[in-house]
Amino acid sequence: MFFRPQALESIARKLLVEYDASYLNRSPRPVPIETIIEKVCGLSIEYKYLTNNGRELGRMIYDDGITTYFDKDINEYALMTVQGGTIMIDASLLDQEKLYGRLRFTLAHELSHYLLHKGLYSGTGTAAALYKHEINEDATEWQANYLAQAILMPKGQVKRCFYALRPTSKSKQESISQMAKTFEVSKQAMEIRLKRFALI
Amino acid sequence: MTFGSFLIKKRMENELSARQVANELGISAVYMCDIEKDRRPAPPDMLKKLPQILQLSETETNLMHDLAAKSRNTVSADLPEYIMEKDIVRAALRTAKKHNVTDKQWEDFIRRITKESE
Repeated sequence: MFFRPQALESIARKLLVEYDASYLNRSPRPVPIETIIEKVCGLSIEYKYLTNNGRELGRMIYDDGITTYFDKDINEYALMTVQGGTIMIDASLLDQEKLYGRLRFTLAHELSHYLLHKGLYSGTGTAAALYKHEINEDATEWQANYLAQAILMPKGQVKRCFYALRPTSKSKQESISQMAKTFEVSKQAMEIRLKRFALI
Repeated sequence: MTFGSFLIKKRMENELSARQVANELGISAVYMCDIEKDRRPAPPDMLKKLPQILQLSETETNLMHDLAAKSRNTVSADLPEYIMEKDIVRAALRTAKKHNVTDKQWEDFIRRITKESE
């Protein structure tokens, strides 16, 4: 199934309206992604070290079952039972303040998999995982990345914020960095979003 | 209800993430998830800060203590001091145990004390 960008923007908008429409029209502020995941979508979030080196950032669990994690205490992989509808996040994302944007993006990315690809994965016992250095971004990954951006950086809000800042902003980099702070995303994610709308 | 599910319920009512609550408590989010899923018992010092973080009422705070105690298979943290302080309290509890006091009798007792102290 292929979702056009426009469809993904609509899905993001619908999700935010369901939580609190003011995130689409009041002054731009960080979208509370964890609350949306838990309260609106009824999913749960679980922090664990997923691998021994942080190469896997997030994992969407669709079905009840067993999954692996890295047990730091014994320095070995271990198994745990996990409920369907759980987003597993690598605990290395919690270690540093500067990874906060990445943490939020990973949460939004896994939520997007759930919203878009639940039907694709459910019953297969396979999880959708986000890896740190993904080279071949296939269609499902592209969609999850796009939807994650649309949720954390709503289209209208990004434009509004950009034009509000423009008179005082000295450079492109300054706009990106300031907006990344406002939306609590990484500068890299903000830059991609601004380029998407040809604002920079 | 378990301590973990109580924690999740109250946290969500306050629109707080497990990560945020863990930060306020000064514990790791991994540990917090383990407590929420009842894989590990609630650490005692966590119970002091939780009522304020989760804005618990008195009834909810009592429930929290009871559920936490159940998770560690001990007596609720707000009670041992009171029970051990007075011989008469222990005597009363032992009498109640010996005579298999019913819930109804306990309820009457609670009602009488509440009325007398008001």
